[in-house]
Amino acid sequence: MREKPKAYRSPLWKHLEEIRRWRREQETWEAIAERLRVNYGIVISFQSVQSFFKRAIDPDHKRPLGFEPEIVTTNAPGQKLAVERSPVEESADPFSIEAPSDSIDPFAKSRRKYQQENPNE
Amino acid sequence: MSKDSKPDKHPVTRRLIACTQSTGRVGKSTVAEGLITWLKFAEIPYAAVDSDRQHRTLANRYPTVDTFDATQSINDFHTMIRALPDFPVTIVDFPAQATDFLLGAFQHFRLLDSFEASGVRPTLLIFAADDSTAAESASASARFFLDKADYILVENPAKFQSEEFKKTALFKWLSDRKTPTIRLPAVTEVTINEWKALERRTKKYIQLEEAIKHPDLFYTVRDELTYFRDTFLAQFEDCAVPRIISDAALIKNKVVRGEALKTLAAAAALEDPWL
Repeated sequence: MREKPKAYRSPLWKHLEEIRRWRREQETWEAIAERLRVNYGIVISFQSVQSFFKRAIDPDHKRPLGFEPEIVTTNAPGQKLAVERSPVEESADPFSIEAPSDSIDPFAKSRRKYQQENPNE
Repeated sequence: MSKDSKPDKHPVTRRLIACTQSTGRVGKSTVAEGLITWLKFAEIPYAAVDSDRQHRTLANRYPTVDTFDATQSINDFHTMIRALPDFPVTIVDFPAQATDFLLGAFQHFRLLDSFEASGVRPTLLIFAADDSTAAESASASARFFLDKADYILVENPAKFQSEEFKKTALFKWLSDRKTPTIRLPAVTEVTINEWKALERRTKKYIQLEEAIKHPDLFYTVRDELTYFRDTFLAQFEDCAVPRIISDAALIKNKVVRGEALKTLAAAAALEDPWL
């Protein structure tokens, strides 16, 4: 029997900001799902990406115990207020992230099909 | 190479087949589907990308067809060109209304020269439609590519008339170059509707080849789709070299002429105005 998936295990968390950026570039959910497949090999329906994103950005969404946002309630002088963090670690250096356009292969399926049909080539 | 000689021309090994006309609802994706059907039948390696994000007609029917909108930005176009595969044939189904963008992008990257130098030759599908947008964008495309591309004319009597187009200088120019014509065979609405109904019932897109063999379709529907396919196969095979492929040896499976000719006759009968 399959195990119940654990909280915050979705591979999409890693790409939350990227999904947000694509969305702001007016990409359709279908196109975003396609990009996730092409760029990261994540096979997912566009409805699931949409539901994930909706859930991820909803501040009222009930989180499992232990995953609630870290909010400091003390009024100690000079203490910084903790900002709500994404469960995914963000890269410290934005330039170290691979540029997405380089990894897109518009002919990925065609190449895969050819390789499957001609495994010796 | 001497100083005065022209740059070396690479022999043509790859074809980029597309339509750069700004026209919708004329059967662009249907022709692309017919071409894929022939390439599969002839066992010719090909790549295909559906660049029409709005309709995704081709990608919906063919799971192995990629979806990538190369007309969204110049970067996306560049990404597609950089990734152009080594297959003998690459088909790109561009969206309508993209002529200016595409010609601008070809110009920006000086693609006509670089294609020539690397053995890639474009083949443009020209839909011989009478409407002014279609005719003007066809003319703009031909004026841009001139003899650095080959052309295939497409007539689709079910969707458009071609009488006015045939009076244009462009048609004469294409005729002077012995441009072949692909004529889409007529298919009755009953057949199209039954095919679509089957897709709705099964909740999946059904390829032409699959529909022809589908036991749930009435035999007349299957027969009509069979002649539709066979007519496509015969016409594409007739104009294959050099406009679709550079070498006839790539064709591993040939159309049985007797059957194809019979189907062509059947199609012609359907287009008889008296009927």
